[in-house]
Amino acid sequence: MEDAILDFLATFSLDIPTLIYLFTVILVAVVAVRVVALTMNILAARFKSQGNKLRMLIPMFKLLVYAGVIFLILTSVFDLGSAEILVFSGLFGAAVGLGLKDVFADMVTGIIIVFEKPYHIGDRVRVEGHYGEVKDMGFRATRILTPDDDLVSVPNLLMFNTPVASTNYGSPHMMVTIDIYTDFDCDRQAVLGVLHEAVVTSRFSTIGNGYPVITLVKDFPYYVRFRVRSYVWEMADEFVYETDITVRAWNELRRMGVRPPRLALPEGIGG
Amino acid sequence: MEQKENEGDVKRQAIIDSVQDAVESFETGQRLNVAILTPPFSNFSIMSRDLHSSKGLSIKRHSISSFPEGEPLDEATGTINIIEGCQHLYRMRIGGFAVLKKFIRDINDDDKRLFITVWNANAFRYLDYALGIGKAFPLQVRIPELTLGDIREAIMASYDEDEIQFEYDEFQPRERVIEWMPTRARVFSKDMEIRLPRIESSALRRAILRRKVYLSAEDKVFTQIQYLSRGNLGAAKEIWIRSLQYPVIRPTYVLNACKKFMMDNEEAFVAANILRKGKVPMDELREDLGDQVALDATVATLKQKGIVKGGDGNLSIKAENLGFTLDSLAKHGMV
Repeated sequence: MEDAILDFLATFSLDIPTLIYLFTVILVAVVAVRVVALTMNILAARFKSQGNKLRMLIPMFKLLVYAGVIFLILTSVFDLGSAEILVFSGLFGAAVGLGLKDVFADMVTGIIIVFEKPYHIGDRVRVEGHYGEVKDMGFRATRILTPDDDLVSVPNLLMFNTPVASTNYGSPHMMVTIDIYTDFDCDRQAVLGVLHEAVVTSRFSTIGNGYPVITLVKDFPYYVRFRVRSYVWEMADEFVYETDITVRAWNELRRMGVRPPRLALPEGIGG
Repeated sequence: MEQKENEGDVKRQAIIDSVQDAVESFETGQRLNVAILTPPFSNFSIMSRDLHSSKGLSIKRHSISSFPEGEPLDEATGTINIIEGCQHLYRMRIGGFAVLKKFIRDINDDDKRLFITVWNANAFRYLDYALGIGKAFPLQVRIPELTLGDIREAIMASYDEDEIQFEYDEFQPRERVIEWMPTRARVFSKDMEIRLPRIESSALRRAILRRKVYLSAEDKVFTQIQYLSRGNLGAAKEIWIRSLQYPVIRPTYVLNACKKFMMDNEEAFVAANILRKGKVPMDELREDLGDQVALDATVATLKQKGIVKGGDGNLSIKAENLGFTLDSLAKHGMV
């Protein structure tokens, strides 16, 4: 085995032309990936309905290009025959076994995710307590931009092994759930009507076939929860939409005399 | 040449025939309330005398503007009532649908009278999605888009034969299949204005057709007018007026009569609401949309882009740019 490794290492050759060649290959690969990413992002902005699907081509292209680069590097610096490939596989397996198994697992699951597409670039996902927009799907991790502008890197293995909720799954429009809590003594029908009208008059709403507005009410011991489920046209407006509905609905509800929940204290406490 | 009555509605008689069928059904005991859906700039109007009741039922025509707010049906005293301008029954704000909801409820409850209602088609579509009003009108009659021939006939009815000279341009600029439109996009995490390619499907279609079909200057002029107006006669007439350098008209004059633009969400929201009402006072718009958009600035931008007009306090969509307005509103899901 030792001899085989030494023989394999003996095939290693790196001269100046090879270095220049490798540098050029890497440079071209990086530029190609950037150009494709830019083109896909521009096309995604242009064709919004297919935007997230177009963005999914970025990680696929990346995967192909970088796999090609690795192959070119190996074939350039090593003279790879069948024996060498066997030795290389052994070395690689040992490396994976010794310390790179997590990285390797992330890479393999990254490839599976790219082809299985449980979510897309541009989707809003919820995973392990993190919620945000998928900005990139790399070899090792998926990057999620949270509403607070934090970029969270979630290892691909984790994305693969834990439930991931994609709120829009490739569509530019997404359902938004908005809750309003009121005092127990309120006209429930009137509040539901206000919520419905707040949605259908919002400039952010998607009103049309396949995009229903659903209003719900649930009584709790000391308050009432009103919930409206509707679709926002631009996913990026999710939180502005929620704010718009909440503020305008409450303006109307206050005018109607509806109050927010009051603190309920047992008799004798709080005067 | 004698102008046709109501020349804006080439297919008017077919619509009236459909409504007459509803009247006859009503007389035999089947009540089908009617919604006539008119496109923007339509001057469609249906008179009492257009309909006939073999049983002598009273037919009365009303306009929403003549009804006291809140009680539209109390004034509709005919057995068969024609009610026009129904898009003015609602206001685009919370609490602004009360009159419309009561109107629909009353129509549903009142089985002694037949209601023939006339709506702006865009407003009806929106209200049907938002409130499901379509169920109240089992018979919906849509004024169809006009064909090339309809538009040619309606426009040329005002002129003598050979009065207008259709000419090809001496120099015909190459029509571009790909237009580069400025738009805001997020690139490398930064919002920036970039020019995005847009394939002009009509130009592409014409580019393909050019090899197969020879169009006379007249055909080309009307093909362009039909496309730019999206088959809307009001828009087509406005484009014609703006293109004609009497007595000459050329295809390039037609192209130059319209303006291309893009709208952001606020602009599209305001434009969509103007389109649905046809003509709307600025004060009404301020009351309804003022809490969602910076209205004065948005209206100023819409005017500057050539989408909206209005100097007398009433705002309306500029007819010649209807086609591009509809394209842009569709991108925002507002038509």
